[in-house]
Amino acid sequence: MDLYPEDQLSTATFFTSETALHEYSNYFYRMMPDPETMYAEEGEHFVAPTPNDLIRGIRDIHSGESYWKKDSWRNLRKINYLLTNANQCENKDARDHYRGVAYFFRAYFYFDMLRHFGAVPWYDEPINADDEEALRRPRDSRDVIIGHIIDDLDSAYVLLPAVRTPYEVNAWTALALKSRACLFEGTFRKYHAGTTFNGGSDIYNVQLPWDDLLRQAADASLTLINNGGYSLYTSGAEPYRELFATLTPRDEEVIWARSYSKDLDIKHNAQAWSVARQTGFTKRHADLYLMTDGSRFTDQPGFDTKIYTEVFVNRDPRMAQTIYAPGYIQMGADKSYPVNLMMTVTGYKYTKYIMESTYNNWGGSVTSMPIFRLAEVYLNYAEAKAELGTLTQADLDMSVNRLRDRVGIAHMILSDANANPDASMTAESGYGFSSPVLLAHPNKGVLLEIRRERMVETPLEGLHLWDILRWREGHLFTLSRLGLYFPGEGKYDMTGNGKADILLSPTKKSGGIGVTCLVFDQDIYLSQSTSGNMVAYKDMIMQWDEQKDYLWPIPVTDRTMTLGALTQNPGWIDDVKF
Amino acid sequence: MFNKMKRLFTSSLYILLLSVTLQAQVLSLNVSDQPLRDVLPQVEQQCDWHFFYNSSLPGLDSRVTVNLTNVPLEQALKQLFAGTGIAYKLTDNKVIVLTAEEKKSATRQVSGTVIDKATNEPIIGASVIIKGTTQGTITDYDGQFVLDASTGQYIEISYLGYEPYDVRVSANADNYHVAMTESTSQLDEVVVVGYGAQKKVNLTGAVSVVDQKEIVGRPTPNMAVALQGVDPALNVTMSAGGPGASYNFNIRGSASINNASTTKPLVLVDGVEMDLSRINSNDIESVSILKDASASAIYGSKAAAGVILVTTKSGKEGLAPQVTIDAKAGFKTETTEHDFITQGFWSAYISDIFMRQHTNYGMTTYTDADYAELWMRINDKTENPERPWVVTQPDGSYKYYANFNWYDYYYKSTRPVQDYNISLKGGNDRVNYFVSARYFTEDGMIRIDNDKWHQVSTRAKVNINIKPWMHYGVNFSFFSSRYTYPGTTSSRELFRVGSLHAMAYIPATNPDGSAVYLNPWIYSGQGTVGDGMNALLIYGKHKNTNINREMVMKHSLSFDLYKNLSLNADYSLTWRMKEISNRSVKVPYSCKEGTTDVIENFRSVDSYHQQLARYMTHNYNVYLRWTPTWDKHSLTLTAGYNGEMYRYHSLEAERMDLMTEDLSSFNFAKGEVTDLSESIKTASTNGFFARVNYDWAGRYLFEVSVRADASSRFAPGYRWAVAPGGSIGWRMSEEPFWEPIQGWWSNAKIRLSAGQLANQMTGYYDYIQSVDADGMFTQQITLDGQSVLSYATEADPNAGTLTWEKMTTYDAGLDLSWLNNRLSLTGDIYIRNTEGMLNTGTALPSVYGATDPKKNSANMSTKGWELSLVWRDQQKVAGKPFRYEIGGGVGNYKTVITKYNNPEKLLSTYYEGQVLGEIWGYEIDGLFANQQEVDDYMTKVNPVESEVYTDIMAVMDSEAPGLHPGDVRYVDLNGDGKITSGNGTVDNPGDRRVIGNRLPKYNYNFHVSAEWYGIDLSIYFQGVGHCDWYPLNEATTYWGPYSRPYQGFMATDFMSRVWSEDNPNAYFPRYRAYEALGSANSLGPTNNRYMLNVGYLRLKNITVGYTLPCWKKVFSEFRIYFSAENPWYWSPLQQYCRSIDPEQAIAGSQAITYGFARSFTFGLTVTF
Repeated sequence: MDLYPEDQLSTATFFTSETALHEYSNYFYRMMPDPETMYAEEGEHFVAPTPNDLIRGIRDIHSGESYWKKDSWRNLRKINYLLTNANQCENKDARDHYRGVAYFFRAYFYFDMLRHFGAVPWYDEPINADDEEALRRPRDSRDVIIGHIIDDLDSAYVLLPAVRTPYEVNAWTALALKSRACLFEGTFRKYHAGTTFNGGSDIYNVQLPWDDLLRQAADASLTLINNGGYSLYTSGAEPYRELFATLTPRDEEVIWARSYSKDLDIKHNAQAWSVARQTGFTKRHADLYLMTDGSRFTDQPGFDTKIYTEVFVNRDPRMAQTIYAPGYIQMGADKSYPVNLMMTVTGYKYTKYIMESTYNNWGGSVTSMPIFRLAEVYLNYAEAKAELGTLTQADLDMSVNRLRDRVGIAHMILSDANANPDASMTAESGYGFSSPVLLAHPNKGVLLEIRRERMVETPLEGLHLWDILRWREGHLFTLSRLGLYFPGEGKYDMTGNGKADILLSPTKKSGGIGVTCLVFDQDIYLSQSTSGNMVAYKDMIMQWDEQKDYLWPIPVTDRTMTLGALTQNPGWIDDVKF
Repeated sequence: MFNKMKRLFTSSLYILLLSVTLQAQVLSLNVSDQPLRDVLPQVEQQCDWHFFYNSSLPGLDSRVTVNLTNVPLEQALKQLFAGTGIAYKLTDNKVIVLTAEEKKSATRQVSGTVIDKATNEPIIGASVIIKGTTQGTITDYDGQFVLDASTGQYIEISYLGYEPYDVRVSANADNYHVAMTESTSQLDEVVVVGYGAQKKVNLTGAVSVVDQKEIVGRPTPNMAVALQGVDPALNVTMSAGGPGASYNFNIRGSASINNASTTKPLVLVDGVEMDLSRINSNDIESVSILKDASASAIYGSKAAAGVILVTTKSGKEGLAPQVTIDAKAGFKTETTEHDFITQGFWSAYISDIFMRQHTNYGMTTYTDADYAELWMRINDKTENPERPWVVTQPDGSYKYYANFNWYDYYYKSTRPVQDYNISLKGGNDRVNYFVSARYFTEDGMIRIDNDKWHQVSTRAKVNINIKPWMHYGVNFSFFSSRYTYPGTTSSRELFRVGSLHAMAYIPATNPDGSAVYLNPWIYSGQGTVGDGMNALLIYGKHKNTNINREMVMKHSLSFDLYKNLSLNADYSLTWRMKEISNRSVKVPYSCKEGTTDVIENFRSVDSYHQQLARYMTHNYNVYLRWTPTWDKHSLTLTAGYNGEMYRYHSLEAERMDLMTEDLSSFNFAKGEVTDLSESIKTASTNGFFARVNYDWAGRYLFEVSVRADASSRFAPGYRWAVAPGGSIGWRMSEEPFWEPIQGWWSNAKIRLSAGQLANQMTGYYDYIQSVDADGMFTQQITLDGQSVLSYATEADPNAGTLTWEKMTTYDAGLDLSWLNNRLSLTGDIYIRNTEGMLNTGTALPSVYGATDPKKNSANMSTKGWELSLVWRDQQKVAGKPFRYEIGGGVGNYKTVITKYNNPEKLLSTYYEGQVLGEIWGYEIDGLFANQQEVDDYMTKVNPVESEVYTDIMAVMDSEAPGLHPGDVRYVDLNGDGKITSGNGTVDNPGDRRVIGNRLPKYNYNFHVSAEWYGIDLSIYFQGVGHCDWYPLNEATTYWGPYSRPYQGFMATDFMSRVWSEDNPNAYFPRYRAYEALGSANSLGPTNNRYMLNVGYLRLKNITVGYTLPCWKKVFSEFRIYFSAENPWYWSPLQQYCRSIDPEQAIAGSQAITYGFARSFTFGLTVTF
């Protein structure tokens, strides 16, 4: 009477071979980040045509449903399924390896849930349809979740091979994730201490001290730096640009990447998003780039009124390798074209990930997208140490200063930075960091410099939103988004060849051969209408609720179905009452 | 012992001596109707003689009556043994040896004549058998018979349709005259029921018997077609009209909302499951339909939707070899009319005006000059050389001005059908046999590269009595069908896309013979004529073959263990094979003189596809039957085991780019392998069953049965299902109090039954979590940029507790007959509750991480009734007997969903309280007659916010955007000022309500048959009382250009039904292309105005035959006949569309299928 499918494998006997475990674990890779969360990384630093609800502060009660849904929890079910069944496999090495993969992805999953929802229920085995208790499990505290994340990553680190491959998860990806997760949670706790997100109700009354987490972040980073065998990619004329403008990951530096292929028709949209969408970095971001001598651009006289051809002079080379600079020549092209101001709302169009024009079309990019790379680990290390107050000059030299060496700008000096904190980064006129925890920190100066370094090294890599949230600086999203400065009507050279390329004018008129006329308030929006900085989101109201907007709401249907066992996040009001 | 007896016989010397002693003995014996066996000891008591005999000697149980007083022994013995068939011999040691009477000495030739009592006509072919023996004969053409018999034996004479008659052979008569009375009822008929047979009078369940006359001899390819309408409870719907079309059928409506295709009645042919479409209807002896759960419970798990028992013909004891040849041939035509526009001018003109109302350009892009050319040719039925239909332009491209009849070009109006049957049957006391063979062939309707159907079937059935108590039977059947057709894999495609852009002004071919497909002059190079079907057929290299073969072999053994106790065992093997092969090639066409292009679409690829599927079923039965009777009690006990094992294995492959277009084999394929997969399904069931029937004096009837089944489809622990059933009957007419009215009210029986059945037709391995080893992400992923990431993952879990769906049926029935059974009525009412249908269970929170598992959670309930009435009689007309019969039946049912997990009551799925088949739609109260009506309407309803006017209101550059006179006026039922579908729930359906039901209601049938002077006539009607149909988007022959302005088949009178100011009472609204195509268009949403009743009345069959009286010396039957199948129908649908058969509409909402056919055949039946 017992008949089993013959043309399909059944779970009772499936997990016996290494191949089976391998194929099964392949499913987990669907959790790799969507590249759109990288190149379309909106914030106070970068502008997309229409801002999303998150940064506008207008998420509704359903906004959590994109992340808390059957399909996301399905990933966890599969991971736990493998962990529950892996013992079917007699081959211990294989069993260990794929358990390691599963541990890594479980940590990856829960880290994502933690970032969105704070406290979530923890499950380490698949839920049975009739297991009422598990189905209605209340949320576990942040302590429980981060504790499990660390445990899983420690297990993964031990079980996974210590091989450098950017394609599959390994011991080093586990360390990289641990570095990121511990830094996130440590700083989140530190900066949110005493708020509704750290204190108040049970699940947010966290016990695990932040400094312990930051120590773990620093330790994981250091192990990876010292033992991983990774080094920064320094080849080529513009190593920073080429690190991202590549079809295959630069595996000396990139720890894990998401790959694409034209032949396989697996592509993304990073290039068209720049070429054909009205995106752009803000002036706030552009101003962060230091001068090559290590001095601050914002200390330059008249920096606020420098025009396009002036702002890129003597700047950190990463600026021109990230942003469309005068004289920019696209890969494979033989000449420079002026930036199309109709196709960028700030004038600071991005060129990161941009390759030859053959990839310009919509959905035509196949550049490899890094998920973890050594540079981030350096930055994590320096930030954790600085937050802990244990940062030394030697720490800086073995981390962030290597990033500066790659692009050839002056080192960060611990004592100088602390002696002279950059007021422009804390003043409302400048970047605007205003957390009292930061402002009171003895390492405030170097922390600001490390944040600057992080922001200029890793824009559009999917880190920035989480940085702002963990630093508790969400109010930054309400700041106006300004761009290039134009003193007024007239012709401007946009390529640096001395010839005018555009004419700004209140009315449409000819500016001569090769000159595009842009009409104020029609083709180009300036802060004072006919002069000033380019301005995005003109007249759009941006808001931020410090008591609510750091987390997403728990979906209403799930709260209802669990009879209220799932509590709602602070500040979110729904009609579910039990 | 026998040896010893032999020795005794030889000592005949002593006889004389004995006679002396015998004289001395005298006996007194007074017995009345006692078995001889019991009398012998009484004799022994009175004398010193002893009997010596074999206790199994026949005759010992003969009942004797003697009244003797002091009679000498010898005389007493003589009287005692007279007529018992026992001879006695006396031996010297006072032993009387009893032996069977030796025939030679005792039997003699007797003869007789069998006639019809009413008419005095001889009955030909009546079976004449000596009861209790295997000897027999049949009456000849004069109704006469001759056979050997001995005194005291009974001759049993039987003939179908007559009451059986027994004659005792008396000592002093050698010739017997038998007048048989016609049985005017089927009450004594024996009905095949599960694992046995029962007299119809004793039935307590809802079982109906199909008269084989309604099936046999009709020119139907198979039984599915033949069974349509034979019983009001049996709903057969054909999917299409073509050869080998599939069918759907159910008894009393769908038994489950799940797997409607698998939850269908179980069809058993001689106890073996078969598909109706593979049964030769000429082989059929009888068909029983077990309608309620009590009757079918004994079949258990597969019988949840009812059972159809088919018994095939058998040979008979005492039947001399008899050969029957039946040959018929004729032709088929479509049931519908195809009077389509073939004048190029009008086809172009209509498509242009419809299109301009939708967008600002015409369909054809033809100029006034082009129209002038078309007008010049408007009456040219064939091409006039002075006015060619194809004009080559200076650049070589072709421009078309044809009057082309695309329908006649694609399809044949008549097509031949042939059907040949031969059978042989006969038997003697040891062996009987039935052998048949059939060849059936018909041509399809596709004219180019004609599609053809061939079907061969054969059956051989032999029963052998190995010993008097041991019987063996073998029943073998083989079926093979082959359908070859041109075009794409789906033969239905031609009927849909073939007409697109196939407008009358465009011919099929260019002057050089190349195919027309696309060119700059056809709708500005946009329209692809027939979407390539035309070019493809002309090229003729697309080939498709579907082959089905089935072999059934059944071996059975039965043992008569003891009086009335038998053990039966059988094993059957069903082997089936399906073979599908499809060849597709790249198709050329031409759009310019001297050039050839290749069609670029999915129909024009070079590929070869094949599927080979094998099915194997082993079925075992072992059961005991015990049928004791005593006094007025009779009991039948049946108990046994049934096991089944099933395995399906299919292999499918497809590969591109073959080296030749003319041969198809994977050996020539060099391109990409686009498919290589296999599928295996296995299932097994084990069942134990038992049934008890009891009746007292045929008056009180009881039946109880139970079956327990285990199915491999469920997890251990959830496998077993018990199907109990019980029924009782009361034959009031057998009661003493009935006697006064017995004269005119001959029979009355009340039946009540209840039973529960379980349905296992879920997936094969639903409870097992299977792993998909070949998963691909919807958005593909690569890890290394070199290969696409595949993955293996388990399917979302099912609830491990999945188990059987249960159907409980309650049935109350009445069987009545009056006037000596001339008028009889059978009626049933029933309730069937289906519980635990698989359905998504309660919604689970997201953390569950998988689709909500299915559970046995939905219920529904069906209530219905059936009624049939028959009048049978015979009279003498012009001195010849005139027999006739008029009868009919009707039934109806309604199914309501009583439980379904849809708390929001979304209309997109089932909901609690839903009547199965209901149609939700809008209401239209007419067409706007004038602008004033439009303006008034717009003060109340905002068309811009109305879904149904979306397309009309869309700002488009058509000649007339916005609402206009002639548009349909939707009623704002909920008064919210707009016409919407609300939120799609029962509570907020917007302006929709239930406007109809798409399930056929009131299935009915009636028939008339008569026989006189060798002439027979049978007329058989079948119909559906009511069935609502909303023609969906692609029902192009109904909607015409309202669907697509470029659809080619449009009735010639179509425009007379289109609104215009001169035709204000028209059926259709103002002309506007695409209006019926989508839900945003005004005719797309289901509404009451264009919903049609496709109920119908169909003359299903009419047959007239004549049995020739001559040549009777050679042939026992020589009959010629004419039979027409489906010759006529009537339906309310005809008023609006004459090119769609109502059954075509019932088969699908778009009614695009192979045309339904009628056939006319002439046949000849010869028996010798």
